[in-house]
Amino acid sequence: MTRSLGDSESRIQRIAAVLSARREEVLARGERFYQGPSNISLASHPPFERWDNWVELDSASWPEKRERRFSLIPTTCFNCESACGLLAYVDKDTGRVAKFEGNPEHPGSRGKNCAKGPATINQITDPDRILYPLKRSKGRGQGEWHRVSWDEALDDIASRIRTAIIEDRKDEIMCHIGRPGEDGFTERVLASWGVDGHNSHTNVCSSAGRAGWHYWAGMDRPSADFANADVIFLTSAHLETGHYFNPHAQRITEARERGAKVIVIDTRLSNTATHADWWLSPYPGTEAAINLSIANYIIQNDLFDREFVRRWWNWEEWMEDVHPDKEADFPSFVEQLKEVYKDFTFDYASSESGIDAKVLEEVAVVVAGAKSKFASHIWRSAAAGNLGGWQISRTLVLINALLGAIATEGGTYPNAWNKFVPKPIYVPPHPEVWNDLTWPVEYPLSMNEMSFLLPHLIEQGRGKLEVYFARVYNPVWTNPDGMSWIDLLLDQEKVGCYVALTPTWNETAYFADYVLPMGHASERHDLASYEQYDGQWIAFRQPVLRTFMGANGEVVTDTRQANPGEVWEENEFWIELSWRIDPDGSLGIRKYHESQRNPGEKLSIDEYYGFIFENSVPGLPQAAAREGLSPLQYMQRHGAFEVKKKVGALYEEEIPDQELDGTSINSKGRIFTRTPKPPAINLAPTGDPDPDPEGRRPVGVEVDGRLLRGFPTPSGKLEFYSQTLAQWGWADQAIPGYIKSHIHRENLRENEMVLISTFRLPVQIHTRSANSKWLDEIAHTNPVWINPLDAKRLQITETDLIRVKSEIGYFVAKPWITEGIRPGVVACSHHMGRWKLDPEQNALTMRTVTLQNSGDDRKLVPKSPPQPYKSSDPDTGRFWWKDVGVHQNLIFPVHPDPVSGMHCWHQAVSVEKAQPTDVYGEVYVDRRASREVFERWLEMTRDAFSTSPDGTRRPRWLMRPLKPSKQASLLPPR
Amino acid sequence: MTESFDPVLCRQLGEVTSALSEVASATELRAEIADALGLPGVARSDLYRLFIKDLPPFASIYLSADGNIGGDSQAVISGIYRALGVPVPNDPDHLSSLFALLSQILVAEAKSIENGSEPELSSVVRTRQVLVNDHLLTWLPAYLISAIRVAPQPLSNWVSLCWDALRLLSPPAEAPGPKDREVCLDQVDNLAKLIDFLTTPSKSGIILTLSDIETISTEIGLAVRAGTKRMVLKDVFLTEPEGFSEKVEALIRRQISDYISATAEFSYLDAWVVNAENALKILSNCQ
Repeated sequence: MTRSLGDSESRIQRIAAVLSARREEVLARGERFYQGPSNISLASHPPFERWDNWVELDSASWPEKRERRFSLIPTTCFNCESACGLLAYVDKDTGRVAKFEGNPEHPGSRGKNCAKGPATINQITDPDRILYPLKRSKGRGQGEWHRVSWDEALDDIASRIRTAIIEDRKDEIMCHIGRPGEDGFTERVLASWGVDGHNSHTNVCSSAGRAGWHYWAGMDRPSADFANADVIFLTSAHLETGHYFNPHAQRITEARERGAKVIVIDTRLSNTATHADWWLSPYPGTEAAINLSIANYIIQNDLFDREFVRRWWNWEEWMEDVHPDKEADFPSFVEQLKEVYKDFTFDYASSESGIDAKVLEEVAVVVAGAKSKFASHIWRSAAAGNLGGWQISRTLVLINALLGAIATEGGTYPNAWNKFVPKPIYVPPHPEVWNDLTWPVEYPLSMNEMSFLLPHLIEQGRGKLEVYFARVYNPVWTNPDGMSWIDLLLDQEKVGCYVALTPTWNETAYFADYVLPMGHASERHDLASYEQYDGQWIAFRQPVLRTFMGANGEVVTDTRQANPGEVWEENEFWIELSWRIDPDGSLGIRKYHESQRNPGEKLSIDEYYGFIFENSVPGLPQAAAREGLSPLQYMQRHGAFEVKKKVGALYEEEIPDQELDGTSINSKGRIFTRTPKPPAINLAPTGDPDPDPEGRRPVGVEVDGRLLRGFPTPSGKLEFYSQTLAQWGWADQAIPGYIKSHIHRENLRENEMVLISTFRLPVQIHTRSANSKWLDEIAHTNPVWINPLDAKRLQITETDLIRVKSEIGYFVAKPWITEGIRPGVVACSHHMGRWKLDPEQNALTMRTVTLQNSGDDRKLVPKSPPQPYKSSDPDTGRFWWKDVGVHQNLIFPVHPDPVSGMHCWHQAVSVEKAQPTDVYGEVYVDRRASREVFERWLEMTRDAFSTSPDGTRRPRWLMRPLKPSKQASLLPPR
Repeated sequence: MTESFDPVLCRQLGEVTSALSEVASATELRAEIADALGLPGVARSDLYRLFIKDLPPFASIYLSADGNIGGDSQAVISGIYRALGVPVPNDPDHLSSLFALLSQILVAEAKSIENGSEPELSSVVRTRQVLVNDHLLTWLPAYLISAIRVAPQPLSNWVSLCWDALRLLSPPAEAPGPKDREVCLDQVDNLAKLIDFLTTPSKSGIILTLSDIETISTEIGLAVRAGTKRMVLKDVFLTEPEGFSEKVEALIRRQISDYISATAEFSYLDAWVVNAENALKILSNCQ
């Protein structure tokens, strides 16, 4: 450093010139050159390079400075759906996990977690978890169990499944998945068995939110680029509990720091609403009217992105089908667009929603001003609450589509472009069967399995089950009309063998034949990828002690060797079970679970994931090689890999010439090709539009003379007008519109109110977070929110108990009088009210109850609150809460939306002071009434026999888990 | 009269300090920036080694009374952001944040000159002087002297460019350094206090990095354990006190020599010399 000052100056000048030139080039490409200070401080996370030997002082030994050495091994949280990265701190001396913190290498969560992630330590050290396979000793539901070997359980279950397959009773095998937390493993297992046996929780969760997106874009959910948005529009409590809320909330926070505006529509004053610039608290179910009033403002004032709409909406189809008498040009379309929405004024939306028209106008001006930087999100909430909730989602996409804010920086992407699903080692073919118990003919447009109707459909005599798996799922407690599930599971004629795959006891497992212990987040393998920003990543969930043992030279061939007791993981369980179903390979099942490296041997987990990471994830082998690792080792060490950043607007991508042999273009510009589909790199599910009559596959769409990739919809464009809906009996709902909910004021009886039952508590996640003592201490009850005006009218105080009555029963709860809910509406979180039948069973948040049956009357009677107890964890003797809330879902009849299939959660209820004999937590249900409501909602459907335009059960192009073959998709003879 | 720079030089320095800030953030570095700065083949592990393992560029580590991040010295720099109406970043005293702030100030200075707005220019120049003269110059030269010693080769240009930028930003006639400053005379009568002293640059005047300790340990035939710098120091002092002390003394002398050769340009280094000379005495007494 002995240069002269002049030398320093000329050096700075020279380098500044180069930097400036490079910066200009990068900015011209629309990219950011300087990322800015990292804000990564030493205190945030242990740097990756030191994960193998991390030293910390033991906090419990303070003031003595006792050092502890850790191996930090990444995994993925298994509580909610966000799949955030975790780092397990494995104590090198004890070989046990000491704690979990965030994994800074995870591109979605970026080292940040909510309370549920670190609470994984509660789950794996839970003294009351299930450690060994159990078999029922007495009659079903009578509560006595004995330990069995895995071999005994596997052989019995495999034998039943094998027999059902051989006897062509494939519909009698069903696996009911709670929140999957993985991408397709279980579906492929079922496909390998040749059964259409996948059942999901999705129709009690997100089908309506998905449907709104799917009919527009052929992809079924939003991926909002919150970090770069100018206006963020949330139809939910998204900052605290929404879908992918932790990865999203941190990006929304960044946007707010930049000055982005946040608009929240939520009837309830959620924590999210408290952070909003505008909180709109509408009368429930009127959200679509609000969305349409904003859309109408944009349309009538010509504030929409005219070129985007002209190029990318399928307006020609709408004009041809619905307005054949008009000129089929764009100006005529705009004229009709203005006409069709002109009645959705702010005054109309105000009269429906109860929100001041001036406020709606103010919000509309802000939304319109965002242009392509408008990021919106909807998932459950209003979409999941209402009849026609899918139109709330569809009208929200309408706003994005008007502004051209689709796949733009700061706009909203379709999910599949921000998600990466790699190709696995085997892809079994589509099953040759169609299961009417999950996909009944009355719901041809349902987005997912009609899971919550299963007891009713079986009760109607439509079928039975030989083997029913519930995989980390608790339908008795989670689904509506839980008493119908208890009735079903108690009937061994209808369910031959019920297998509960679960880490902890739950209300449904109590009725099982086998209870098989499955691992928590740090005890199992899975692969996950979710749309959380404009990029694509994969994350690896792994049994961290297995990885730790392997790194220390131990040979581990089975995850049970590393897990506590005999806790297993599903991947290995399914492979083992498949081998036992087809031991000699004669059923054609075993080949999908065999090693490719060592033919004739079982596929190992290391080979399964090793294959994926070596062959199916672009860039991963190279990244691993740079560190001198195999791709599997790289994922074991880092836990996640970012496949792509800034995916951009894929619909504008030019179709390469080599894909354009033997093409045809229809009158709307849809391009079909005879070129075979190139091998897919990313298997993220999307719509799969039909080929043309000559069998050419759709490959893109012609826009202004350019051949572009477009969207995976029949038209290749964004479908403002859904020909699918029109052709399948719902022409009246083929464009974004407003359906008055089943709880619309017009449909309520005098003195009835609306119960909002779907909101989450930030630290709980249904029964998945069970036995997490830290979380339970924070949140363990669910009082009914009630406005002071209603409380006064009903003469209710907070010292009273209340009865909340639905169409089929009532529950007894405590009121919480708050202005956080609008008058005429009450709200109760659905995370609480856990119960158990066995007084000897320990649990932090379950009260002991009895179930009383008399004819169609079902009653859940509380016996005793949870008590502190002695265990290996001294904290179980210290817990102080007695109030564990009320199980409200039992009194909700099934409300299947006739289009999306979604259960419509909102309830019309009456609220009154409890009667003197009522007991807090008591629930009564009339099963006759529950059947009547099911029948009444069934009458609203338009079945495939009367609507299918082509003899199929369901539009083939729509996404579907485990899609059956084309032949199996044909309607049976009537 | 405002002591402003030439606007072209302001913009050039602004550009370069932005790029230097990117490097110091120790995350993935854009290839274009690495190329322009002449950092061929710089890898993430190099960034980690310099900015996380050896010389975390937090001003508070080098200015605070305990050698830790945060505290008063971080609060002082936070005040500059607040005075400017700029959001205070998570790590306000990290060099990456400071260079980013400096870059913004330099660009603002260029604009003020070009707009001919004298009151605005005075304010911007004053802010720049506070940031550079009262803050960066108190610790960054000493930091860079240690960085020359331990930086991985691909980052050597980053160090010398920081040095060049700092020279250009230094006042032409620098304020007199605090030569008559009182030496901090903590009582160092046990190993724990000695370790605290040696790992507190504002008291010891020296910057002892993990790489320094590893190098010395290797020279005297010791294997180095994992853990924080304090843990490692304690281990080697307990194992080989005399041999290690001798080597540390040699290192201190080398640092004193490096400081002295640069005091002509950065007079604040005088204070570092005084403290480091005192450290020699303390170490000798401890033996």
